[in-house]
Amino acid sequence: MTPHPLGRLLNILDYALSSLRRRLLKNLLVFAVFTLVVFLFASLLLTRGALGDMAGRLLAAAPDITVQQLVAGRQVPIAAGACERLADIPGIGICRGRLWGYYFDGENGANYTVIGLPEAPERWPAGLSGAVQGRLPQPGERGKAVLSTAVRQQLGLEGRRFFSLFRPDLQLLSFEAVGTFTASSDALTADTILLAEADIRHLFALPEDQAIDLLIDVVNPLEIETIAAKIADRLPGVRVVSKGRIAKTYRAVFGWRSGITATTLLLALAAFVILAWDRASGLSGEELREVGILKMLGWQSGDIILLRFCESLLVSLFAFLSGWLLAWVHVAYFQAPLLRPVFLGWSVLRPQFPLLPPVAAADLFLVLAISVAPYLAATAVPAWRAATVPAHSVL
Amino acid sequence: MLADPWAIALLVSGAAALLLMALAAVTACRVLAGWRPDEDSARQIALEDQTVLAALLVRYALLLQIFSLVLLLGAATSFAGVLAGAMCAAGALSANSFGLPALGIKLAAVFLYGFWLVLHGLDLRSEHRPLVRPAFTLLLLLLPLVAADTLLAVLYLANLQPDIVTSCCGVLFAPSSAGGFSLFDPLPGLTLPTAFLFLASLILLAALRLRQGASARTLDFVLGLGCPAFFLMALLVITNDISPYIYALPSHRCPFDLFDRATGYIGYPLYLSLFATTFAGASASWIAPLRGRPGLAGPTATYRRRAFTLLLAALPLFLLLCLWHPATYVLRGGQ
Repeated sequence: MTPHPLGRLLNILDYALSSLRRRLLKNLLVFAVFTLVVFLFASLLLTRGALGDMAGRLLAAAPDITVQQLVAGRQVPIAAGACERLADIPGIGICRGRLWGYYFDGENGANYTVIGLPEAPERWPAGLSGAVQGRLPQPGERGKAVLSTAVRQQLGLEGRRFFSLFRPDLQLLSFEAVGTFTASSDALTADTILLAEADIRHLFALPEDQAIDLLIDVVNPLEIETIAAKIADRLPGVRVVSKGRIAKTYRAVFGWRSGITATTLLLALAAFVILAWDRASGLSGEELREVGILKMLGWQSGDIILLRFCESLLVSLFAFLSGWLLAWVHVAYFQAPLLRPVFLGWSVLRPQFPLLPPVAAADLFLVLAISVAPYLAATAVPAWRAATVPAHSVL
Repeated sequence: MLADPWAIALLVSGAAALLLMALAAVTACRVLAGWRPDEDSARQIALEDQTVLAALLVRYALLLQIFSLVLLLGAATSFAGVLAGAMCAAGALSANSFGLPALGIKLAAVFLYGFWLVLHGLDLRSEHRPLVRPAFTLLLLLLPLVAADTLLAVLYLANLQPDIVTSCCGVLFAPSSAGGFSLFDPLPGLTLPTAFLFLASLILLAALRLRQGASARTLDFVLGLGCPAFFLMALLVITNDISPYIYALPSHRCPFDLFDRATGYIGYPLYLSLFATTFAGASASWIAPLRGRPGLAGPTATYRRRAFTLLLAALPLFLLLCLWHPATYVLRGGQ
């Protein structure tokens, strides 16, 4: 009686499991190296996914369009009146000048991002009050600042409230820290000092009629790119950056960095494929005898090829699952210590934010394609070689 | 964009498929040079084993090719998030002149590998092995196709520039008179959908008659030519007429956004049933002339019966998926 095809497959799968158990040591080596390869690739993709998600969340609050003035290809302050020249472009919601800059602290080599808080509270970013422990500088109030915990440490404030910053003419300005950014906003504020706009003008010696750049909100998000093009036509010598373009650049950078790392991991993959080929090719006397007995019992070459395929599939699936789980623990629990420096580089003030890797079917498929497919291909010829051993030659 | 995980996965699977097919081609050369079906020598037995190896390698290559087809679509969708102007796979694939040919050649390769495996399967079922020479000659002809496939993938990936603006599907499938480049202008009227439904009915009828045991060359001819033509026509109809109903947006024509969550992933069953229809119909009719070869009458009839059964299940499913959205739109009175 011809067995049902599914029954035959289940029987072969059952035999493959027992066969793997019998050659446990040999298979464990392949399994361990395979798990390591999957772990490395999966960690890379999970870290990329987590950072991409984080960038997306941060960009959600970013202005739709940023306009920067360029002179000789370098950014310079823009005339604050430029907003008036854009007023008649339909679709622009709010246009405002932003005051901000970098302050280099020669004491410790850190760069602080100093941001100006607009005078009118209605122009404050949404959710700002909730991100501050203590209070914000009140309208009209001078010499007050909000700092991040990391900046407090860099300035060596400890319990003190007053600190000083130098103007370009080396005049020393004193500020009182009245608030601290909460830990939950650390991704955005790790290196930030928030001052009143009047203070920041004084600190950086900026003229009244100038801003560092313009921020523009567009009423209909579908019109952002069109309005950006109109602004570029209207204002000569400016660079217009849309939110979508920044998001695409982030994705390109994370994709490129993970790609470069993945390229280096290809060596590990190649070494693993060679190992898998070698392990699958080297048939021991016992294995040859087993094939001979199976053939005497009526197994066909196709059955033995299927058996070897099932063995490879089981090893690869177990290794894939364990490698993926380890990668998840590495990224979500330990915060990817092996890969974080690759993606984020180095800085004195490094934002501390949790990596939350998203579960993406595309990533699972990608790791399967990079690791499992070459492994199965590498075991094809050895499987055939094992299957075509003549029964009489080994018994 | 060669340094992107998607690109690397594509290159790895392409290189693996090329390697396997090259090994299969070497085996094919050996078989073609020394095949003596009437002899009972050790050399002939070894060659028979080699045919098993070649089939195994092609089967793995087919698996990899299906993998890399999905990878190419996944890669293009991922690149759309990076390329300026692109919003889905359509924009990413048309970002340079190699993307759409790479997709086309992958589709053709999947069909041809599948057909080769059908030929080989039939050959194994006859003790005379009458198809060894034609099958292994075809295998050698497939090698340049795989090489071209890998080359096109490399050229596509190497020439992708994130800072060069490409178009989204809203432009690619819009009228060219609206300004800019268009892949194809929308075809107005009901001529195309009518021809599509007529061809579908013709294929259904032919498959039904052949499944019932009718043997008419004309019916096989209809299926053999009609199924590939139907495949191409279906792609046009899905893009031109069906997709705007699925997106509920008259100006949105795109064959790739159907894989999105927003459309309930309808693209997967839609294209899978179209693939099954085309492959079952075309392969069953292409093997019809082989019935007369020694020992192939039975295996050919069995395969054809199964293929027609598959076609008779897949084509109605495909038509149902195609017509569901337009029909519900009309029945609900434009809702």
